[in-house]
Formats: sequence, C-alpha cells, structure tokens
Amino acid sequence: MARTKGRLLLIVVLLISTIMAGCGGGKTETAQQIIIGENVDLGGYDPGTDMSPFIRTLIFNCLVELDADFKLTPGLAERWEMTPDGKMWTFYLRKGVSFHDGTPLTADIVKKNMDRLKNGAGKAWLTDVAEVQTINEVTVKFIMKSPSFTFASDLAVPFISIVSPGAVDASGKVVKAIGTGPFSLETWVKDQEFVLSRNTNYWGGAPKVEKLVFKVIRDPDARAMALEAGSVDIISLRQTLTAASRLATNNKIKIDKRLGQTSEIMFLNVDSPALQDLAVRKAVGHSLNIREMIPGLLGDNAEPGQTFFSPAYGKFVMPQNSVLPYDLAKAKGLLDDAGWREMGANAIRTKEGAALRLRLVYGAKNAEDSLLAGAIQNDLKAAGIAVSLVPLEDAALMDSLKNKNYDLIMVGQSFIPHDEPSSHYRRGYFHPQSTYNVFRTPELTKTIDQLFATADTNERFALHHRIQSVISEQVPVIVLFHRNNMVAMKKNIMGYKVSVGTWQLYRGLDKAYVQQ
Amino acid sequence: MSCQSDGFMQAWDKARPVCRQTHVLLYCSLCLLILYAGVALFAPFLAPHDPLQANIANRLKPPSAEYHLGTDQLGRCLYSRLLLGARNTLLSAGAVLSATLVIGTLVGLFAGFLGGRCDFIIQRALDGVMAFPGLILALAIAGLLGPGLENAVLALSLVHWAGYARIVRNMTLSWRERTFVYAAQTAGADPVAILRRHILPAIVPSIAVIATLDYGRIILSIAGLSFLGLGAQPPAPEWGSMLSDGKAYMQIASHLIIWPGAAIMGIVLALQLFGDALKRIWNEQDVERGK
Repeated sequence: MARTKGRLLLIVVLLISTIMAGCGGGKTETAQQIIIGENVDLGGYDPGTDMSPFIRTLIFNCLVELDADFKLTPGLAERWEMTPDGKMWTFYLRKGVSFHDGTPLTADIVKKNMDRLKNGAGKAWLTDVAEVQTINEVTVKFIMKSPSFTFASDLAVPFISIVSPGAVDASGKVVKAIGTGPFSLETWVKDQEFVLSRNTNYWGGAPKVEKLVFKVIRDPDARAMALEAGSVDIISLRQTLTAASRLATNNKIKIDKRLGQTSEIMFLNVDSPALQDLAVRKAVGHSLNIREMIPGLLGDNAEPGQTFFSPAYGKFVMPQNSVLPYDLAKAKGLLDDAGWREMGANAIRTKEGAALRLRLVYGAKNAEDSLLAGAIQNDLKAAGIAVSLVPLEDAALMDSLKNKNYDLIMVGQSFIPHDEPSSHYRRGYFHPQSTYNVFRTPELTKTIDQLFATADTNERFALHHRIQSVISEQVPVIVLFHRNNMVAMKKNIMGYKVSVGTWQLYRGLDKAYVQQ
Repeated sequence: MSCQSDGFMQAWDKARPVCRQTHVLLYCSLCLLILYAGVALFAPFLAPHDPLQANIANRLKPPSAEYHLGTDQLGRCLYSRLLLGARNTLLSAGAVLSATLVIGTLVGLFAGFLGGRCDFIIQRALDGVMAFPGLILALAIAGLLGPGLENAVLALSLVHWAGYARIVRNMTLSWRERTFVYAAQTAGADPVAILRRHILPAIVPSIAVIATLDYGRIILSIAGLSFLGLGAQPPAPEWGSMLSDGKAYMQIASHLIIWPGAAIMGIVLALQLFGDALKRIWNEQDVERGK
C-alpha cells in the first residue's frame, strides 16, 4: 500500500515538473507583442497624405527628426550645415541604412523623394527650395530661393518622410508603406486593425517588441473598457473626457502624461461689429475664468492656457502670460466704458439698440470644445454678453475660419510637429501671406518678415517674444488650454514614455517591452 | 395584452365586449399623457433652478435634496433641464404632427375623392416622397437647412405628410362608394360639403389612432435628430441632445442618460398603449354598429 502511494507520488511529481518545465520555457520566450487601442485607422500608405499622422513616425523617417522632448535630432541625415546666407543647405546621410524592402538609402532616392514632394504633399514646407542636388552617394544639397534659416526644422515634419522607390508607382503615387523606420507594416484590415512588425535592421537599434497590433476603437469609453478587460495593453487617451480619471483608480493600469505641443485657442474676429473694439475683446478675455474652467472640465487632459504657445516650445515662448486674468468687475467696467450699457441683472448689454451677441463656432465632433463652449457661454453671460453656439463639421469649421464667418472660433494650435513656431505667424494666421486672416498690422508684418530674415538664434528668440507680445496686446486670440499627451497602459508595459509631439505619441514604442 | 387572441379565438373576441384591461390601459396611459402635457405646459414654474445656469464646481453631482436628479457635465440642474426639455421635445413633435396631419389629410381627401388624373399625379408624387427612407431624407434636409429645432421640425414635416396622404386617400376611396355619399351627391350637395360632412367625420377615428401612435415615432425622430446635433442647439434642453451630451459620462455619471432616456421611453410607451387601446375600443364599437 505504502509502495503504491510512493509510486503515485512519484508520478504526480514527474507530471508537475513536466508542466513546470513547459511554463519555464514559455517565460523565456521572445515572441512579444503589444496591442494598442487607437482612435483612428491607418488611413492609407502615403505618409505625406492619407496615412494617420500618429503612425507615420513608426514606419518612416525624415532627414531630421524631433525626439521625444521635441528637440531637433539627426534622422536619416547624420549631420547638416547651412551657408551663412541661409541659401544653401547640405545634408550628409547616415550610412548603411536600408528600407524595409532591402533597398539601400542613397542621395539619389532622397532627391527623388524631394522632387516628388515639392509639387505634392510637401509643397507647403518646400516652397523655398529651388533645386535639390546630389553631390555624391551620401550628400544632398538644397539650393534655396530665399534665405531660409529654419529649413532643418521644416524637414522634420512627417509629410516629408523618405519613402522607398519601390513603394511609388509610375504616376508618383505612394502605393505601399515602405520606409526606413523601426517598424514595417505587416497587415491592415481597414477600420479594424493593422499590425506593424519590427525592423530588425533598424539603424537606431532593433525594437524590443516583435509586433505592434493596433486595434481601431473609436469610442473613448470602449477603448478604456478594452484596457480594463485586458484585451489591449495600451490606449491613447486623446479626446477622452472621463476615461483618464476612471483609469487612474485602477491599480493594474498606469497613466503616462506629458505636456504636449498643442494648445486649444479661440480666435476673436477683429472685423466683427462688436469685437472690432479692443475694449470688448479685452472684456471677453477678462470674463473667462480659464483657471477654474479647464481643470474643472478637462481634468488631467489639459493645463489652463497661459502662454502664447504651449510651454513645451521652450525658449520660443514669451515668458509673460499672454492670457488675461479673470476679472469680472474689470470686464464689466470695460464694457461700460465702451458704451455697452447694462440692462439689468442677467440681461444682455446693448449699445445704440444693438444687443451684444456673439457667435461661437467650434467643431461639433470635438468633445472638449463642445464642453468648453457651454462654459464660455456661461462665463460671458455673467458679463452681459450673449453667446450663441454654432457647432460645425470639420470642413464647415475650416470654411468658417477661412471666410472669417465667426465672432469667436475654437481651433487647435500647432498640431504639426515642428519645433520652430515661426510658420504659425506667417503661414498660419498673422501675416498677409497667411492661409487664414486673423489679425494683421503693418508693424506686425514687418516684425514677422524680420524674423524670417534673421539668422542669429538669440535674436530670433527676442523677435518671437516681440511678435507674441504685439499680438497678445491686441487680444485677437485667447489661449484656452495646453493639451497633455496621455496614454494609459498595463503596469507590465515597460520602457515606453509619451513624447511631447502630439503626432509622435507612439514614437517611443520601439523601446517598449512587456515585462513577464 | 391578454385580450388579443389568435386563431379561432378572434371571431369570439370580436363578438364580446372590449375587456376591462383595455379600459384600464386606456386610462393609465391617458393619465401618463396628461402628466407629460402638464409638465410641458408648466415646466417654467415647476423647475427649481435655471436650466441654463452652469456651475463648474458643482458638475456631475449625484441626486441630492437641492438637485433632485443631480447635475450635468456643466453643473446644471438635471431635473430642471428634464422638465424644460419636455416642452421642447413634445411641442416640436406636436408641431410636426399637426403640420403633417393637416397637409396629409387635405391632399389625401382630394386625391381620393376626385380620383382620375388628379389622383394619379398625387399618387406618383407620394411614391416619390415615400421611396426614400423617411428619417434619412429628414437627416439630409435638416443637414441642408442647418442645425436647429425649427429646421428639424420642417425637415420631419416634409417627409412625414406623405404617409397620411396615402392612408387618407385610401380611406376616402372606400367611403365615397357608400350609399349615403351617393345619396348626398344625388341630392346635389357640393363636393367640399360631402368631404367635410360625410367623409371626414367617418375617417377621423382611424386618423386619430394612427396619429396617436405616430406621435411617439415623431418624438423619437426629433430626439434622434437632436442626438445627432441637427435638432435643438446647446444650451437649450432637449431630451435627445441631453442623451447625446450625457453619453460621454455614461461610466461615471449614468444619471445623465438614464433620466432623459426614461422620459422618452415613458411618453412613447404611453402613446403606444393609448393608441392601441383606442383602436381596440373603436373597432369594438364598429363591430357593434355592424359596420
């Protein structure tokens, strides 16, 4: 009897050890994948046009890149130099780089890419380029039409990613996603998921994780639930209103948050009948209790607006506050002096029979703006300003901005990763050459032109501050909040930190791994 | 609804008086409808707070003595918004219903009574309108006119009248073959008088039942358009847009969607039951009269 028991025990021990051995083998395995819950689909293959901007940096590289801290860093170009007059830029390519399809990177390929982009997706960023020359296998020279002192920064935008010649068809269309980046595109099921697998030959060092599986989950709450249920490892918290605060209490999940490059701003139409008066614009600024509104409504998603750009832009940002402090009494005083008479508690102010009514235009799909619009309406009502809300679809919103068909309009500022914000003034909003006419004066135009003609870095910083100060004094824009980049992930995801660049949210994923 | 039977029971069912449950349902749903109407009429006096007054420090609070149903994402009193919302939702749906009833009945009466070429043309026009799925056409029209409750009402009215016109036309067609209509014609009554005195009264009960049932559907459409941002504009309270605003907070403040949802469900259910009961009672009376 005792012997039988002993044998049985032996068998059980043997069995258990076999199973354990199997487990041990599983633990040391290297096949790792990270599943990511993402808002938007891959969209397409062309990093210049239809591919989701959030994915571009994982598959492609630019000549120059922005690192996680938003500092300019060598990309496919190892180093670069500019002639003192800013009219010739030379880029020296990194050696031994090859595309996912095995094609080695050459100066000729870079030139072909630039020639293709110059008349297409990269047009806005390459307008100053007169000619691209190849000096040798690894040297590319750009001849500029006019002095261009920030050209290296211009090349860091993801529109100007370098694509393999094998991915471009005869008509110059990018039909495959073949780049030099840390991951290559493996499969894509439209609107469902796309899988990136690691590029073991990546020049920056092979990623630790073998596969990144992106699952497209549009609804923020569904994304958060997928993470809680464990079916995804990382989720983006973009455009979520409640998920972050809920997930913060979950001890299996950690949240990585970093002040990002983008801000949400509200333009005031300086040509509209009521707002052409500076006093009324100032009154609007003083009526908004941004310091309470933003943390109250958006929590961890945003920091209350303070400076002209997000503080992430560092020395480019004027250190003084460009947002007017909340002061309702002062706002009322300004309106009184401007002739807008108070008609009793909670009533709309009037002047010469006209009521002080403003139209606030914003994106209907933008959950944050929709929420803020209600709060802004409420704050301005306290000062006697009636606001009607006009939520618009994206295309109509851009039309409205372009045609100045608004009194107040909420838009995002500086989405495109570009460490040097000069283009915001000239191409953006404050110069006769701007796409959108928000506010311009001859003096401002002169200062902006001066900025573009100045090479010295410190002088440029001073000019940036002067431009921001001139604009801020006239209150054509109110900075509502600076956006935090946030992701939530399981606690066993290591090595991944969120970047400053909004479109570069996933940039650090090549360093990520799953701790067993 | 136990009094609704099938198979051979139907014959017997028709012969016996309308069962008591039908009357109970009728009165219960009528009470609920009166309650809704009362709320819609007296909302400004019933609401304890200003439904538009935001207070960020007080947002997303659960129900309390001061805020009976809690507060919404901007700290506004949900109870007050729900009451005022009744007004916007029910009145705009009522506007759609009256507009469609008037247009649909008039067009239907004339098409059915005149017949011939006139009927043919109207019929083809109705085919044209009805070929599109109603709500999708309404979406397109509302999108074209721009968001707003008035535009939503206009859009729904434009697509909704055709259904009534068709039903009324068919009923008119069958009633005008009756002997008393021929008698009136022989006596020399003019067509408008015949329509008004003889045919219209005969079809009113059926139209009333259909309209009651339809009112619920229109409320759902109005709420649906508002949910999609094409109806009531913020900050105006409307049940559909309250649902839409509240859905982002479903996980942390579910009261934001439960109450507007319950309000919509309650009225639609009450209308459905009321219409059903009404139909059964009138059917019964018809049977008794031997029609």
